[in-house]
Amino acid sequence: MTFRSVITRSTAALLLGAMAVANGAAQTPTTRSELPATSVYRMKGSWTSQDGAVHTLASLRGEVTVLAMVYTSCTMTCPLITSEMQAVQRALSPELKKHVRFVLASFDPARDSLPALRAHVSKMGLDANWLVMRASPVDVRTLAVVLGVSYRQLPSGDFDHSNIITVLDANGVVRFQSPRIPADRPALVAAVIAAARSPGS
Amino acid sequence: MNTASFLFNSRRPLLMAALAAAVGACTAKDSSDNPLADRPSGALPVETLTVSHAPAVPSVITRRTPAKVIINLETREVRKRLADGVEYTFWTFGGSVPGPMLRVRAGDEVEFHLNNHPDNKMPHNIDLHAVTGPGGGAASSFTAPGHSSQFTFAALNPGLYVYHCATAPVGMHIANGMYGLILVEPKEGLPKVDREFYIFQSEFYTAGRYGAAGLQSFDMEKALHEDPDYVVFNGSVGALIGDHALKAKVGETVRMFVGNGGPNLISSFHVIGEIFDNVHTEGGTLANQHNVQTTLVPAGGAAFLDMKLEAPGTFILVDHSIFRAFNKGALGMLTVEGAANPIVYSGKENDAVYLPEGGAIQNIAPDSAELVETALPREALLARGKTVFTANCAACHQLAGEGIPGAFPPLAKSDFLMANKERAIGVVLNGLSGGIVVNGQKYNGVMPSLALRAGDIAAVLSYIRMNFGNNATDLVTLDEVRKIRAATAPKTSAPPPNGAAAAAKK
Amino acid sequence: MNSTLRCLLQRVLLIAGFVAGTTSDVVAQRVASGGSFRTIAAGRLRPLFVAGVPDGGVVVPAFLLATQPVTNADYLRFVMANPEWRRSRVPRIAADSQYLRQWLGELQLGPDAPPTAAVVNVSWFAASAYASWVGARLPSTMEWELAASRFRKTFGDNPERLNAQVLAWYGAASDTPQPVGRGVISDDGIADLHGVIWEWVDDFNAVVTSGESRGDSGPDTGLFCAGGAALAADPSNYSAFMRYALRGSLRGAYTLGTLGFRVARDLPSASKRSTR
Repeated sequence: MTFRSVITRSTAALLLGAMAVANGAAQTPTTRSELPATSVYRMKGSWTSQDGAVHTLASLRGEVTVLAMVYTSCTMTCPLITSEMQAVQRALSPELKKHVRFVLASFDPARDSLPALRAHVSKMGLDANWLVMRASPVDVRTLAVVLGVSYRQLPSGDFDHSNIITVLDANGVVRFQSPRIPADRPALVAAVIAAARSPGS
Repeated sequence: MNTASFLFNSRRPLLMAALAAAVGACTAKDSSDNPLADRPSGALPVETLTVSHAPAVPSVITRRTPAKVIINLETREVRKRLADGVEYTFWTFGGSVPGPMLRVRAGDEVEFHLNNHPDNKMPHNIDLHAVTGPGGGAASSFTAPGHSSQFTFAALNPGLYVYHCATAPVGMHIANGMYGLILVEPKEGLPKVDREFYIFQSEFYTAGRYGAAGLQSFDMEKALHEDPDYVVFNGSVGALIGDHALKAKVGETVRMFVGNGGPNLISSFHVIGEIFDNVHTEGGTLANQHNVQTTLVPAGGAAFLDMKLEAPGTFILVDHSIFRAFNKGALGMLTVEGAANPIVYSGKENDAVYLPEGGAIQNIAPDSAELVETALPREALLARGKTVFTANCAACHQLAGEGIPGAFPPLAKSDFLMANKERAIGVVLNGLSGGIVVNGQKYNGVMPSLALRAGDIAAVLSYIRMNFGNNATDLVTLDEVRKIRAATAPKTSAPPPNGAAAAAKK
Repeated sequence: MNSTLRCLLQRVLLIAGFVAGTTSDVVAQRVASGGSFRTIAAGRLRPLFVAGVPDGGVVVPAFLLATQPVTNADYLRFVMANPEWRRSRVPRIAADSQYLRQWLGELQLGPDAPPTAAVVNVSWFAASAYASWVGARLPSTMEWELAASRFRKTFGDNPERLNAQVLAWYGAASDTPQPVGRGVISDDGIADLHGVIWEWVDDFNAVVTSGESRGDSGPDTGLFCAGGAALAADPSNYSAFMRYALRGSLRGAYTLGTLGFRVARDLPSASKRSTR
């Protein structure tokens, strides 16, 4: 964690606080509709996807998202996680498919460079609705913690991690989590459909 | 002739009966074959479980249909009494050791909430041995302090099961008191009894030894070596004693649900003065043994039993590994009130004096070796006589030779003794029975033939005749004793105990 | 109005202070206000549960560790400067409903929260934000366990005695939090590692087990993508087990009445964080 990021974060926080005080009240200050209190997208994180685009978690707002955390050199359950998500995508109606995003967030920024992410996309045959993204170790930890995903790095450089697949609504609220592989596909599909129908508070 | 008329022809009653019995047997199968068979297609009625704290048992289930039962169990770390003057920080379900007893019916759907009190330090979970599923629920109930977990299971198998916390380190969570019983009644219920009791044995491993005062902490070394300081029923020494004893009445049939949380020891459960009429060993659904004195309860296991109480009194519950009962606290009481039945148990009928000799002179087995003896000089003889007197005579005639009035005549200043030296030698050689008068008092007892060696007889008689106020001036010699022995035979009314005695008298 | 202006002025000055060139001095002040630090020398440690570890254990590089946990007074300064972390404003995703429940008000400590006692009922997100605000970070599990194993001056070369002491604390019922700085001091001069509070670590969610602890000799490969080899553990290190179990029961937004934290920093010469 660099000093610069400390400054950036602290400054942003303080500025927000100062604005709140200037308004003379301890209430929600912004005019834009605020993220729900339980939204994952309230967390900080700067993620770069395979095409080089940078996404904050807040910028993921707007579409139902099916998300899992993997790493591209994993030979154990990560490919299974991805194929479960692909099966969920295939089970959606053509109309719904256009509006549901699938995200793989990497545990492994050291080895998952942008070229590696792109290679993974073509190897797994992922279409335009998929984001495969990387971030700093601090941002990886933040996302994993907020999703309840356990992970640790082994001396070999590989990772032990949970097999959780999460369905987030358009506001970033967790609507359903499948904890294991094989995943509960019908429940995942049902959760995606329900999240798309009612975006939540 | 068609099958129907063949079957229902009243001229074949035996055949019909056999067929009916076969049909009956086949349809009345063990309900565990399909435990969820009687689930209605719609939603189950919902009820919230009322638990009970040991030794009380939750009420018998009266419904004969499945339900959805909601159970809320709170884990709580509490500091309480382990024994008089001894406190321990118990980790508990429901604030008590053992935890509450749960009671559901086979086929029920159980929605289980594990609530971890916010003041606790530890995460906890639960493994119910009645659950068929990963960890018995442990995987789904791992809960941080101040939080709650929920999972649902079907009570597939009837029986009596232990539940316990299974958070690492498991041994410590169990050793600190996190266990209890869940009864899954069979669908048809259990046979009716008058009373039911909940008894749970477990051990505690403390830094101080048994009885050391103050707050005791858990001792892991002792737990690893399976060397507990306390082995108790229902979580503390004396939990079922005195005012807290179990109570019942003569004529009642009582059932005991007995659990054992260990963590290490197996229990040999016994009720002193009673016999278990029916035992469900290991908590299973078959009353597979009858007329049992002591039944084993495995660590992490249970048993239940019933017995009809036929006599009043206090019946002691123990782990018959008996040092645990009397030295570590594995002791409880069942007090039974009511009328006594002397045919069943009379109580003490008689209290009498017991004389090992009985009504006739008995020969105490002699030394088989006949030594060649030589006469001792006077001082040595008298010293020897004193030793022989103390070892053989003082028990009856007393150390000062005063005897016991009405029982044993005195040797002190004894006219009977001093009147006839040969007779005295004969008495010690051969014993004496029948009425005599000593110093004006009548005695009618039995003195056994002591079968002392001739030299000892000479010594002891010399000693007695010169002490205790008897004023002999002459010793009793070895030759004198041998002469009398040769001349007299033992006066017995019964045959000698063995041929050796007869041979030794020559 | 005067108070609002004063308050606003304070905030502006703080912002200015951060952005200005004297930033490092200001941060140093923050650090100083959060307590002093000691160097924990590099060492080797066997983690409780992990496959593929060489026999000597993993190397934990040297780092700086705060000598005391963060106190109520420290944390009060933090929420005064960062209103989004006040009790009334923090979103549920970042801290649960018990956040700072021992405080009398959102800016008032009150009798249940002595200024010099360790702050508890704070979530991992809150602890991380505090650490970041003082220019520090949370220690990793391995860093914390390494620091907490160094008690040779007090307990000699016998880890059993340390274990027994720690178990005695874990076995006792909760008391009100004790003032910091009074517990047993480690060889490195770190206080209160045992016996006061549980402490957050940066990678608390590196626990790859399910809570069904009897199966922990092998991972549940349905729940976890894990390296196939058996999870090794030192079964006699009960106190490490219990910390491990506690961490495994937590989520990032959880707050516990017995859970606080202390901060750590890289050594000035270090260019990257210690490996986990």
